[in-house]
Amino acid sequence: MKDRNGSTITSKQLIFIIVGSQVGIRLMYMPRVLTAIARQDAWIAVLIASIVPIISLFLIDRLGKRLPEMGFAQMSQELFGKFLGSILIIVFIGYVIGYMSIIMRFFSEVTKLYLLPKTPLAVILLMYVFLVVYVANKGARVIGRLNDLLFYLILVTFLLLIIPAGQGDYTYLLPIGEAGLGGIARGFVTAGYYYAGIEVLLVYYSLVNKKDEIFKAGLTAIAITTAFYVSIVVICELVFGISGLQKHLFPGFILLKIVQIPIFERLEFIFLFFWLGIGARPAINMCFAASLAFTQLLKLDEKKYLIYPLILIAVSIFILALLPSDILVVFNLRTFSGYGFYLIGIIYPLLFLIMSIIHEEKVKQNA
Amino acid sequence: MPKRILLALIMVMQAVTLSGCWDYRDINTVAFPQLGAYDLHEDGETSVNSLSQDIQLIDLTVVIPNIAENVESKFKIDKTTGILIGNARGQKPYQLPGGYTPGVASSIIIGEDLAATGINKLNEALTRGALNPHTLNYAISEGRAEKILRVPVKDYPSMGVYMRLLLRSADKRAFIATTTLHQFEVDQNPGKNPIMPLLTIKNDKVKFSGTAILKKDKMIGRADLEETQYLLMLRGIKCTASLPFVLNNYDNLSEYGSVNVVNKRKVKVEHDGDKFIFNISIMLEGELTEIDRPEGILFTENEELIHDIEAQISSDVTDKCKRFLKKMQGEYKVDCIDISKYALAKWRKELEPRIDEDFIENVVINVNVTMKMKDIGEEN
Amino acid sequence: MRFKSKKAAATTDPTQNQAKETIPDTKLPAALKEKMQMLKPYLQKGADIITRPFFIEGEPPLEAVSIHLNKIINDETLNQDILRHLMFNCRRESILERGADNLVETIYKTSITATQISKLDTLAALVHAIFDGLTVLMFDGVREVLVVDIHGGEFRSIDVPPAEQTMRGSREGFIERLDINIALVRRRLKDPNLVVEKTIVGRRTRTQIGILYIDDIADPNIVTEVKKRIDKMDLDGIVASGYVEQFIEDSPTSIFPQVFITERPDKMAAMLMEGRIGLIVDNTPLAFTVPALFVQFIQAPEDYYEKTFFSNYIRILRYIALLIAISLPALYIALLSYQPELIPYDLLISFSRARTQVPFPVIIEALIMEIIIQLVIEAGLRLPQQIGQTVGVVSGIILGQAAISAKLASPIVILIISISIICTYALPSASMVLTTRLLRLPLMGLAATFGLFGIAFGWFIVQAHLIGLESVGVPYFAPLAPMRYPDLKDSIIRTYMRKMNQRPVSVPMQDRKRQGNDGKGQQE
Repeated sequence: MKDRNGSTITSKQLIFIIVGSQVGIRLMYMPRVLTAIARQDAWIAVLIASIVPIISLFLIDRLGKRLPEMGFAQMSQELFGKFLGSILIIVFIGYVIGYMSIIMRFFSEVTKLYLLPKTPLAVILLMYVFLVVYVANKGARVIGRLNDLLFYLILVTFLLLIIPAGQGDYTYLLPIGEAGLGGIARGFVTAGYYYAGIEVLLVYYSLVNKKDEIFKAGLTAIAITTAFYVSIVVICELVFGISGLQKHLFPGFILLKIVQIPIFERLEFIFLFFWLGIGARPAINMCFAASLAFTQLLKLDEKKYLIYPLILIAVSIFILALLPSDILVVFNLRTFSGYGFYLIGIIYPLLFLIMSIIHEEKVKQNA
Repeated sequence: MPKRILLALIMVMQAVTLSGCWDYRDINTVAFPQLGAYDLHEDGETSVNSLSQDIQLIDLTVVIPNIAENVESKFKIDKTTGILIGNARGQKPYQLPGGYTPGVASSIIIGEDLAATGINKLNEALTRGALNPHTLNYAISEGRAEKILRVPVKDYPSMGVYMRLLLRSADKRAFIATTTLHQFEVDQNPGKNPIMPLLTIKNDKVKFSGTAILKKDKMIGRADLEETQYLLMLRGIKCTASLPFVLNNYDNLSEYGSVNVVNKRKVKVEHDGDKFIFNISIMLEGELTEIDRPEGILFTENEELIHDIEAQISSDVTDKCKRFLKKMQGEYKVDCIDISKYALAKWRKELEPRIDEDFIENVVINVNVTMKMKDIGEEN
Repeated sequence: MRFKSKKAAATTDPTQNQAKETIPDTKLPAALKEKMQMLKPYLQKGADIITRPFFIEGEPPLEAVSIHLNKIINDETLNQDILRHLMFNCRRESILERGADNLVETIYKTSITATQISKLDTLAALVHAIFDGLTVLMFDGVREVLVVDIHGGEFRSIDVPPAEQTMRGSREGFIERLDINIALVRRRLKDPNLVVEKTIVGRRTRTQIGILYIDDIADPNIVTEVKKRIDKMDLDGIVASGYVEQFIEDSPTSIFPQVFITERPDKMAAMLMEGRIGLIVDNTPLAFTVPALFVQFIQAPEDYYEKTFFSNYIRILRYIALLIAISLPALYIALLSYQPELIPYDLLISFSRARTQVPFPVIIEALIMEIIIQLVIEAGLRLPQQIGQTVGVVSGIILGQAAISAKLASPIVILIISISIICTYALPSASMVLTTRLLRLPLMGLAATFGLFGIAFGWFIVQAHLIGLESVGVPYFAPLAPMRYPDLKDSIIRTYMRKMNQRPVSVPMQDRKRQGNDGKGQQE
């Protein structure tokens, strides 16, 4: 199915969309959370947890192959009947709203902490929401291209994070495997949350022009994300040590504070400059997915009506993001959204796949 | 229609966001302290809030450059008191006009009395505030740190600049330990302890006078300048410095001179029942700076001479290191040479609970020093 | 003269309906006197219309009239090649021998030695022909009228293009005459596949536009789209090519230029060979090509005439210049007001000292200087040449000094604004210069309210806008997004000429191969 202007996205852009939806602010606090559970083997947990998005990718791909030209909302109504199907879509949109409000809240908190301490949170949130609405309104083609371009900028900024690795001490990683299977297993479950973002494929599937390349593209994307995650966890462990890591809320930022280079006194501000690109992308991708699903649900023409659900979703995210009283509450809420990811990323495609198999048999029986 | 909605959005945004620049501060009103000193509170001014007498207050003194034209001196010194650093900073608005940005500070000096009570609580203000760099240099002063700030400085714009230059370039040129905030934080991990340079005032000049040995964050001892050399060699901090040597040979005529060395170390640890054996090998590479030798003795004719010098330095350094290790295990009882991490790397789970107490004094540490002379310069 | 479309007859001819006075489309009578009668109301309006009656020899002599506008045609040709032959070397009888009906045909074929001749028989066409600058020959007793195109008159000679000068490359630039411009391009592109189509736009100005493209390279969809947009233009008149640009661009609301303007025929030829479509408008020495890509505006022709290393170095310089030109004042404001920790310590002290002297906040200071400099530039454009240079230097130095002494600005602001202006004018394309000048201001505003975050925000919005922009359906920001790897060879830096063997993929086209050996380049 095509989006406005008959636009579609290429499979290469899909790689960058998936990477963009996964890699975001979570890079900054992930090492702390994971080392608390799996100690120095957190990186192993992250590496193994990449199986979770691969399963999700596999399921969505199989589902998409059976019903290639249908959008997500159509699929849901087709397979589950109008009422149940709409409920499922609304749950999806609700998930996106909840998740995005957490991400936006995080992002605004971090910006407020480092860059603009006295500016009210609502103002930063408003700017962020405006950005998301403006870009998501332009359609899937532009989003594909934007992710394409921004990926390379993010690659460059990621290289900044590698500079402090020289100050690291390899003994913090040893001995390997000490956390034992139990520790690694618990780490695995938590690390799975951090791969959330793959579920946008549910909506973007129908927009890709070459469907048979999707699986490979998805695998490439997951590989890239895993590389990012493992590197940042390893570097943080090397530089801070396990107990030192627990002391910082956002170890990723502290990584940049410990280095001094001649001209730019403070590396973290350079990073924060490109920060907007990293933080905004998951929100743009997912908000677009949600509004697209909404317009498909109501069977409206995307060209004219995309902006309305977009604004609706954006406003609800804005209001929701202002509700938690401080950042610790938001960290707790993160776990809930983690469960949400397992629901939407794995249970949904599984359900849909099973339904589509049953459906086909029913059709065959009736024929 | 969508265009109009977007327009309305833009107008709302502009109205809200441009209604105030909340974080705007004009740069000429902001004070930029470059150097700070923390001390235990002396009698004098106290903070605004009255607290119970049990809590010892802390003085914060800073050096702030003067940016106004036509002033007497290029900097001013400002002192406030509070329960901890952040609170002390909070007293500044009562006497300092304009804003205050602690984020540009580059060196902090801590008085030794305060260091003995623990530095972690002072660190809090620096790490919790998001705008501070972690590349700050720490130093401990003999006596009150405030005195160091007040030493008049003629050759540099202010003590802040002097301190910054001194602390930043130290370990490249001699065996002086320097610590940054980040290094200090990392050294709070189990099995590690920080060390900090010691400053003192002699003849109206600020000098290094050794190293302070800390157990986690409390200062428990000091090593003088000579011991610092061996401490740093054992600790594995790469420095370039000058070492003298005395050769006793050639019929009681001693030759002496000095070499420039760069040090490296390797540590191996073995487990023997309940005993841990550490083998430290220190490798020194150097170039001969000078030698006072009798006439007629040339390097090309006496091939043994180089090896003699190397052997002499190796044995000298080994002896002194052994002496220092004895002091460390006997007197200080902390691991200030950073070798426990190798044991932790192999047996982390069993060692971690007791690595900070009762470990280092019961291990066997063997030292082996090898010196290699790479270069004798232009002369023969 | 209009594009022949299948529905030509049915659709209204926009140049002729809704006019206050429509010229009736009646057929011309045979008698000369009646023709002159019909023409009289139109001829009365122009004192510069020259009517020259003459006779073709014969028994009786054939009456004829030539009508033309003064100083628009080549008088020499008219006198020597047309009137002379008709008056002296042509005999009515010899013509009549071949048949009176074929009078005009015969004259057309045997007597006149001019080259571009056509025939008309309606009043409307006749009047338009006269006012379009053609010479009209009317004969008594013949319904059809001969129209000769012998354009001449005074026009500017081919000169160095003022805005796009190069050290190495041809010094010819376009002039105002469409035919000569097309000839300049033809001289460089002798390919028989080069298609030249002409059309007329503007009800009153009736300006000719030439559309050029290479038939087997350019994408036919784009060609049709461009022609469609030109046909849709229905307005009084166009005075310069700028009008046409604004009508055929995709997003007139965007500040980025979506057509690529050039004054040089060699540039135009290169663009055509890349599959683009060129438009030349009569009476404007500027031509432009569509589709345009963002990277084109940072490239200059001499990039291709020099060795790779030099051109890469200069190109990277230009990209840096673009970034500096847009963000430097904003960065200054953001760093001084919001993130002073980012500035090295000694600089910080000296900036603070400089700022103590100025009573305004940083943004006002920067805005004042910016506005002053922009006004100086505008004024410089209008001053006559002799004063222009002096005033430029004087205003630059003295204004700067005076502003510092009067405590209106600190020396750093002046330095920053001057560097930005220099970087702006380092860009080779005039349209991009205008864009940069404008783009600075909102970025400064954002920096003043939100510091570094504001600048990042502004850049993000600009990026998103650029990525969404399209030029006749072709993504504007290719080859950077969507990333087209083959084209990176020629976007920010340029590889060796021998390796540029495929045409850019960013522009849709039919034939990719640019070099021989089946597109693989030189044989080693």
